[in-house]
Amino acid sequence: MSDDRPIEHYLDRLERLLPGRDREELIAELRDHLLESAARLREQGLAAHDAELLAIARLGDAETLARFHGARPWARPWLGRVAAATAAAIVVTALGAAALHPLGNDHGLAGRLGLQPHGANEPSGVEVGGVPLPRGVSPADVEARRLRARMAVLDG
Amino acid sequence: MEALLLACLEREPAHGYRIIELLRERSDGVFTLAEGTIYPALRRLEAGALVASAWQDAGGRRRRVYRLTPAGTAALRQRQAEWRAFSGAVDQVLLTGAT
Repeated sequence: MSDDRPIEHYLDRLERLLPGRDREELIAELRDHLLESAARLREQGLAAHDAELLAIARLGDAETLARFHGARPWARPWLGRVAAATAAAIVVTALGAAALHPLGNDHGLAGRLGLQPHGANEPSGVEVGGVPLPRGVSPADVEARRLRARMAVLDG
Repeated sequence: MEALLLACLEREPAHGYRIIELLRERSDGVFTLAEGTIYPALRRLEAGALVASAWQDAGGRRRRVYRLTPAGTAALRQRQAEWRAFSGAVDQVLLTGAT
């Protein structure tokens, strides 16, 4: 990493995120774009370093750009494997706990797992954005899920 | 987005940064895009054979320049016609009775 060469640092990072096909061509194209943009900004009076940073900001963050070009959210395979293993461990633990819990309800294992009983997906009469919500799902649940999905995208 | 990119390339070939400048200039500053968004769009246009690209030397660095293909010109004409029909219809509804 080199703080005095933000464009090259940005391109190095992007190159690691991009899928293999057309990667070199895209990096060359974006390098030309960023250098051109920074040159224009310097002509307008910005210092070289600031011009590079602003050029990068205008192009967009590397993760988003990589996704535009087909990168998977888990561009680093080891990170994906860790996430998958963690998710699997959580599911197994939850299933075990639910099956062994002495205070089940009338809906058997599904109920113990917190799954909705039969008919739960019928419309509740509540709508969000014109879409009827299943029974048992509140607008607050929808908003919470939307925010979690948004945060997952940002964290990714 | 794709139609706007085709229109920017109608008069002359241009590279990505120049296309963004053209969009900004011709729209009087209304279209100030997140600049990275045009490259996937250009890829889609090239995959559809509506634009073609070639690499040129620009002061010692490689520059990818896009030009409209005949199919791209035809597509642009069609989208211009569709837009005229659409915007004309909106005008008729929206502005009917206005002063």
